[in-house]
Amino acid sequence: MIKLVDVVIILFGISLLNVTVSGRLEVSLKILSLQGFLLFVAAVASLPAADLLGLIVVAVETLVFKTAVIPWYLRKVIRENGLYRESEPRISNFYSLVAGSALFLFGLIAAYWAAGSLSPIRPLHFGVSISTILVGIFIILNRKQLISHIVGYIILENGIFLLSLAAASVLPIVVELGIALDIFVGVFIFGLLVKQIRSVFQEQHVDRLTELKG
Amino acid sequence: MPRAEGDRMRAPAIVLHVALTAAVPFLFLGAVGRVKARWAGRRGAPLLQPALDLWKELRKGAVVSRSTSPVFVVAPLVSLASAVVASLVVPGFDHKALVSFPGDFVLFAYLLGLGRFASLIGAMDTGSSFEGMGASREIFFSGLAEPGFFMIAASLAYASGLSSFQELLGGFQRGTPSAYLQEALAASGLFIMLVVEGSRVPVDDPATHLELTMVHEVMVLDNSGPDLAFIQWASALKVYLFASLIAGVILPAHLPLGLSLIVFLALIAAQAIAVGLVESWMARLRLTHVPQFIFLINVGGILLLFLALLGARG
Repeated sequence: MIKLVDVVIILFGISLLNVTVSGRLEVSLKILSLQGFLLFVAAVASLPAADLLGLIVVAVETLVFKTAVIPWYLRKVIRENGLYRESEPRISNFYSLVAGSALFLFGLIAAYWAAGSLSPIRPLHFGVSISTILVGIFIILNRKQLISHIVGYIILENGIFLLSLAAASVLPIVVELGIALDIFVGVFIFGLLVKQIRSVFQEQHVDRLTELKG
Repeated sequence: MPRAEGDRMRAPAIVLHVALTAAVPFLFLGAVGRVKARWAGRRGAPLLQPALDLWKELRKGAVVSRSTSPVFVVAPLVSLASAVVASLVVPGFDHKALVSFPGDFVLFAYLLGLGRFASLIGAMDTGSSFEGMGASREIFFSGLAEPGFFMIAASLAYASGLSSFQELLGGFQRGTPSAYLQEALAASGLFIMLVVEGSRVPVDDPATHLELTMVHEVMVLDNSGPDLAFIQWASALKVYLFASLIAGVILPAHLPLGLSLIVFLALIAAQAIAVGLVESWMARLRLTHVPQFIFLINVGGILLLFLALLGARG
């Protein structure tokens, strides 16, 4: 039976398709914020009612980090480096959408398979998380702009978070905190990297990274 | 209720259904025009303006180019006839269609396909390169939309376990979160189809006069008089059919007849207002972005199908 929280998961899945066709960098960031918020709702819905500490950790990780801090920081990086341009995909938006839908379809097939198996996993969470991870990888492969790679990386991580919710429980707090710290440091280092590369090269294409010498 | 009594009860409903199918398409387009005018601060044409235009065109003579063959003359008739026949299987305000049999939604899709084919060969028959270009775009767009339509129809059929339009819209279980989600997905997919079939704004601009960007309008450049009237009538009818399908998806079953009629008409009017507002608020999409927009029907269809499948698995 499909419950109300699954609507949130479906919205999350639809936001993935939006990010595969988002032309401008700022749109991707808005979608990242949205995904963070949706993850918060999905996580709160799956927490046991008495778990206050877990709630705080989840709220910090999703609402503070994913919804606010990371998009804000990336926006700052974009503004400071003048990267208003398009995200420059390698293939056209239409084929990106087709590819994204194919990955989404794959996730839904996985969900359907999971619903039929005996495992206690939540099918829709499971399927959408698989598609999220794949779409994250797809975005990393598909975009030329360095900053879009960070977006793909965060989406991939959102998928892993959703996968942990799929197991009908939340990861231990220490693991959650570790992941959150990882992401935050990762994004921070990425931002610094973008800034440093910017001082040498005018553009932020990953193709140019091969020319970097240590 | 005994069968004979039920049939006698049905007679006024059938008459009303036919009357609505005849009149509302023009009112729908009139209302869209009125909403656009109001939004732009004008008073706008009367609601019946599309019908008056049609009447005017029907009384005129047609100009037929010497370079065309009989295909060009027959095409508008086939286009209108297929739309009229397709209207028979679409359920009206009481979730009842005039003709209903298992799998009639396939007939519906292919009748629209036949009408489209007729208008395509009619356009290509003129030998105009512009019309050929419009035909090429039209077939590309509708080819993208068709799998989505079948996925929507198939998933509603799966969810309700029934196989004709009338039964699957009437027998669809409403009221659960999952059903609301499925209704929303089906309605938005069908709304995109409405926009595509009616060549309304995000896909095509009915007011444009630049051939390079036109899709549907460019195909009828050479038609005039009654031929043009038939094509416009068919187009208006198709828009109404999709609007009544959307209304049928949302409309709860087993309402009293009068209430059902009011809700149905309100839903149709809401869609006319929605189309008008969309046209007022946004410009036509860039031609390269249109396929992307239409592809969303397929995505919605996939999602809907899996929701139906997952819902059945528990």
